[in-house]
Amino acid sequence: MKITVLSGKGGTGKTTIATNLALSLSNVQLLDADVEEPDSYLFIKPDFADEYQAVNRYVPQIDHDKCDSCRKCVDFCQYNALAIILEKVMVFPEICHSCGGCKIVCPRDAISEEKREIGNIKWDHSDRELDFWQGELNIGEETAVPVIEELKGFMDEEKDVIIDAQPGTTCPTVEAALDSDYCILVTEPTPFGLNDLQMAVDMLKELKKPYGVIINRSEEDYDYLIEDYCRQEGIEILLKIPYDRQIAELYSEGIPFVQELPEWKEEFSKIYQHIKGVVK
Amino acid sequence: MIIIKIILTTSDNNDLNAKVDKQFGRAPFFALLETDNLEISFLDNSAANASSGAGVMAAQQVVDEDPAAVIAGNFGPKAFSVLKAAGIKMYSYSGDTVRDAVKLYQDDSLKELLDPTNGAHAGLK
Repeated sequence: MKITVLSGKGGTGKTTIATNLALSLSNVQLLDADVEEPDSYLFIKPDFADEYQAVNRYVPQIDHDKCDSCRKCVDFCQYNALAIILEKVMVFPEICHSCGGCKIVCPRDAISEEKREIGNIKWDHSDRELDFWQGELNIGEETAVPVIEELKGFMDEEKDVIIDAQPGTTCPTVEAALDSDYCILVTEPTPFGLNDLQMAVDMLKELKKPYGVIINRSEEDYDYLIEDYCRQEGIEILLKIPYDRQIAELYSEGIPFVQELPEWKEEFSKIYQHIKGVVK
Repeated sequence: MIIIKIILTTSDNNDLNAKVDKQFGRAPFFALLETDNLEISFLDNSAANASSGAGVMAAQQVVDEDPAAVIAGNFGPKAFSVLKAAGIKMYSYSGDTVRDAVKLYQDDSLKELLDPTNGAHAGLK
């Protein structure tokens, strides 16, 4: 089973949920697909050793001898990765989505493809219970999706897979959720949390994935913000994690709280069993 | 007198009192101005709502107009490199109207930018 953990908004505790859930299960693979800012490693403390694989992409290279500045490539590019200045085509490789269209529309065969490393994949599967993989987008790169695609290529069908997605509702988050059987939406009981939760729910409706909500930093006086919305929408609240000093302190020390508070391990296994029932 | 054409990014398209926009790539309008007679016209910035590469696209539109200089609040790194490659001078102006900006430009009181003022994506709201 593949479960993606996501949130409409950053800082809600997505990584906390993904890592603690992963550590509560056995024979599980955890993929950190928050490639712009992977941080699950802070809690998992993996040994990446020398394991490393580059993620490459192809971007256009212009042969200025052949190019006659007809502008077809510039007009074609929907992402504005090309510009024509003083009759010379300039390429902005960070913006390029590697669709290869410019090469096809060029009437003078002046465009070839150049390899460019945009990120990498690291892994540590020395631990039998938890197989950990992380995608990293290089600084300055704008397209995270190819790194997530590559990372997902390492999913182990023999294991349960938990994917820590990028916050928000843009392409990288969609990419992380795309192949999952179930999505866990992490939110917090604040107006901002609610607003971004609604956006994430709209996204998952489009993707037609089953999902449930976990309220992090839950507080009795404020939970109604999320609860009322979930009731209206018929969304299940899987778990509430209290706004608790001990949990916060463990977090700040990079210790997954299930390690110190084993009763939570049971809570997470229960959720997992429950999700298994929903998916089947 | 030599006619010099300059472009300013603006938030509205109301004559010389148009407000100079803080951003370059996603500013709503470009004001085209001839500095000798202050004749002004406006173009929509077709990059204002581009999903990606707004700086590059806006800079392309500006380059195609072939001005001597561009005045905006800020310039991101990609717009900066396009305009620089085209040999167009860039000036940052954080005040109010086109009229004020042009006066400073003519008095040679605006400082030419040698580096982008903003990081990428600064214009995304």
